[in-house]
Amino acid sequence: MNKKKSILLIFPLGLLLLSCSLAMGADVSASAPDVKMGFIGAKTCKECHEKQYESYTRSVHYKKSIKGPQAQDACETCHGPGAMHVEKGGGRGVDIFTFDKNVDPLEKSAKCLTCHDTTPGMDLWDPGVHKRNDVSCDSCHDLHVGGRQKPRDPEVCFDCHRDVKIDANKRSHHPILEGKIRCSSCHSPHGSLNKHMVEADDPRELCFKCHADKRGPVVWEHAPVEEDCQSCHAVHGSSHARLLLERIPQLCQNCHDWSRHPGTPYDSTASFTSRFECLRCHSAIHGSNSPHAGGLRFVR
Amino acid sequence: MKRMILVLLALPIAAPSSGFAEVHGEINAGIRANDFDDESARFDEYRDRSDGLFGSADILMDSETSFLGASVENPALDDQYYNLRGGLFGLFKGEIFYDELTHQLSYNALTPAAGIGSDVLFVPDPVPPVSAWSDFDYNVEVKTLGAQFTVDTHNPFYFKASADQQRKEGIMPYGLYNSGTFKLAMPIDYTTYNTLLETGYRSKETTAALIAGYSYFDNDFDVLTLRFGGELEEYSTPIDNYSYNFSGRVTQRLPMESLLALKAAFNHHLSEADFSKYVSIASPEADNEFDGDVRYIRGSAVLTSQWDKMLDTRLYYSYVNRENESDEITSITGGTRTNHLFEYDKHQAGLDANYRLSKVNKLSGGYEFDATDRTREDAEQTFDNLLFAQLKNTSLDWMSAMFRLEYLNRWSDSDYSEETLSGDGLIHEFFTPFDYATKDRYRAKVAFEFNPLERLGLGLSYSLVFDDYDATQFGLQKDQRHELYADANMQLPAKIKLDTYAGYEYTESEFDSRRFNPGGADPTLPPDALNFNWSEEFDYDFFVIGSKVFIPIIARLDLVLNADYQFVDGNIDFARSAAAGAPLGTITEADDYYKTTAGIKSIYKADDQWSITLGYAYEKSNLDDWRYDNFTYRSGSVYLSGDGLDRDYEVHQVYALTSYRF
Repeated sequence: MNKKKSILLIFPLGLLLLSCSLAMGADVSASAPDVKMGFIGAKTCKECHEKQYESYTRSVHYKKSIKGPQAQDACETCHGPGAMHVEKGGGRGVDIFTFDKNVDPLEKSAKCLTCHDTTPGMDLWDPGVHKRNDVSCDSCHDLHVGGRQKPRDPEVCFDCHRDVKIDANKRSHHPILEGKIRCSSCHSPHGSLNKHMVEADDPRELCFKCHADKRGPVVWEHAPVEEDCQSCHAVHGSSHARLLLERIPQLCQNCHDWSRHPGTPYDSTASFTSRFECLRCHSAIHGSNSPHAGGLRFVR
Repeated sequence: MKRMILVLLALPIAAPSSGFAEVHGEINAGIRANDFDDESARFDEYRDRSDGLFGSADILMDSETSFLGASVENPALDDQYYNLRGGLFGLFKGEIFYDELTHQLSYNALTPAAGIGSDVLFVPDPVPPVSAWSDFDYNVEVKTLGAQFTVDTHNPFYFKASADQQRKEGIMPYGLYNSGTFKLAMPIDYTTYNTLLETGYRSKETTAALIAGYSYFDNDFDVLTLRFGGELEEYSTPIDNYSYNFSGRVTQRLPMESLLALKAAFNHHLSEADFSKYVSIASPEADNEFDGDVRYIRGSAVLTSQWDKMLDTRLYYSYVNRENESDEITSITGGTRTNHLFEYDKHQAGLDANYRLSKVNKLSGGYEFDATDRTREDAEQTFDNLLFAQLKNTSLDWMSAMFRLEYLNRWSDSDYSEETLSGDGLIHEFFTPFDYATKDRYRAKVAFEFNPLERLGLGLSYSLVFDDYDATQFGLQKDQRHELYADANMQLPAKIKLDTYAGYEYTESEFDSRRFNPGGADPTLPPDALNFNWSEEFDYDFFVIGSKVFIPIIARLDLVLNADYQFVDGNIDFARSAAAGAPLGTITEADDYYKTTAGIKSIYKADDQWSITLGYAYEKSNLDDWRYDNFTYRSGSVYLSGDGLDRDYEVHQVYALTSYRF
């Protein structure tokens, strides 16, 4: 396996050199902005919207080293020219673009995508589930709170995904509430071509990032394991142990019947030794590597 | 790790002299004490709330051109986390982190075995009385060290790299089937290395990305050996393996605000098992090896189009092929069995559309077709037809409503030939696994969002899922699930804030099966004590409610109250013919549990920077399941460790915390 470990070093270094040389090449700076009609400048906005202006100055958008219109046009980059708004004495939404709830989400996102359509990872925004369900950038990103634009994960996600919030609270769960896993650890909120918008080519490949012991390939395969982890597991949380969809033995019996114990009803009159779940013997349920024939039944 | 801590500690000292214009952050330091009425590993699952000092810090320094940040959470505790990040705006950013968590499964399990924690377990024969067994804890420590690096300039090309190493060490419960059945311990000593590289090109019209990854998994224990008296049995453990993946994707803007996205991916999983490490099992292969080799080829294409302001569509297709080139092995110990090399092909195609009936009404609909072919006798083919329709209305400023209907028709076929089924195998003519079975699924969902006042938000959703396996004789028959969720957040007079949520779930399943002895698989045979048809209905009620209230008491003094409660009530009813024997007994405790958490804390803000928090927290959890009634560690030739017993706890905690913001 030493050769395989060396690939860990050689392979990324090669690609790193190649990619960095491309990425550090000629700088194609944003072209000089056109002369804009009706722009009044951020200092005028500040006179009435001091809090919002301060949050802008503390944000990444304020950094002049980040080339783009936001560094020059400030508030009006997103909210549009403010002259008419000022002329009419201000007021919410009066001749100014706002990110209010009743504004078309496509229009709101379009403002952000003017610059961010080329941000890495945004190329799949259009086919993504969020855009198609009227989620706009400001649904998750609040630019006027603190200096950070990253959403509070998982709280922001839980606002819409109530079922996931409930699951994450259940007795058996991934450490989401404990802060060890974020929704964005597994999902690409900005769109993906992968099932469930997971951060891997397939949900199973995602699971293997932390559970590589289940990856195999093994000698004796358990077919549902090789097809979909979610055949047995509720990934966000479950009332049953080990994030299982159902209590054992019910879960196993939903697929298995054979002579003697697989088809036996384990009711409240069953003997004590019969109660203790299928995994007491079929421990290698994710697949066995034993040369013993018992591997076929996952007991070796 | 010590170096990382030193660097983190040096950051605030170095900041003033480093030219950073802004330094923001927060440092928290506190002390806490727990009083346990009942103690359990469940309380410590994924977290370390032990008595003593605790704290966290988060610092971010930035200038016009660069930033440097660091975070520390729970230093020196079992769930500690460190993060160091930095970068130059418009050029690159990087991060290095270290994270620990402990998967606490059970304290004070008992075992008759010596050698717990190693790969050789010794159990004397005869097994000594339970009073002579030794105790140990089931837990797995997970330590992850990782880094990420992104080069993203105003150049069309970008580059990302990430790498991590994850160590898992500990002991997991593991059932070992021998002439006795033992719940013993699997030693865990895993290391996983992951690297991922991505480079891409982007312009307003075209983007392209190439991604390559490599992952290597190493298990220090290749074989788990049980020596029971003079007998020796050997069990397999997770296999050393490695995986390559390459993928590429392209997007191209087209006329009519269309976007075409294409992706191709190749994942190659490889493993090696060395059978010479088994001393008691004759190897089936002359070269004593198994070479695992599984390849996945995936492809997908999506075309999205915005036809006009009213209509947008998405057309998509994806393909997965699993090819299994692993060694075929025929065992010669324990019977003659040959492993099956499982393969499949999946095709998925669909079309969905959103049509804006008006500015406030949006109608969506779609159709998806899935076809799967497997080299699996009991589920050779599956075809899914999925239809959905959804209406969303936002005609009221203070309310939005959504209604969705979904229908799935699944048709599956096995590869069994009824003429050739015999003996126990005859049951395959009647029994169908639930996840591949022919069925109809109906799903309905309705959701509302209310904002009647600026400072009041309410959400309410209900969904029903009903599965009807009407072509199944034995197996799951019906399955239904009701989910009702609600939440509210409001700001009351005197700046009091209230956040609350509640959820109720009800699931109910009906299942039919056959219990038989060899030769009795035919369900039409007259029932007797060992051969009979039976049915079962299981249902679960789950309820959760939680609230958090923020109350400003006086200037600079706030009070925060929180309370959460959840419970599960599970029941399983059985039925069989009277000719088969006495009625089967209902299980009234099936994963029943409740959990209560409550807390109160007062926060005194001495000034804009300093604050002091004093708090009390209470947590209680209890689980009841029939399988643990009258638990005994040994019964006949079954020897258990009691890992499922350590599940209830009740804890009172007091704490004091000082925070400094800058």
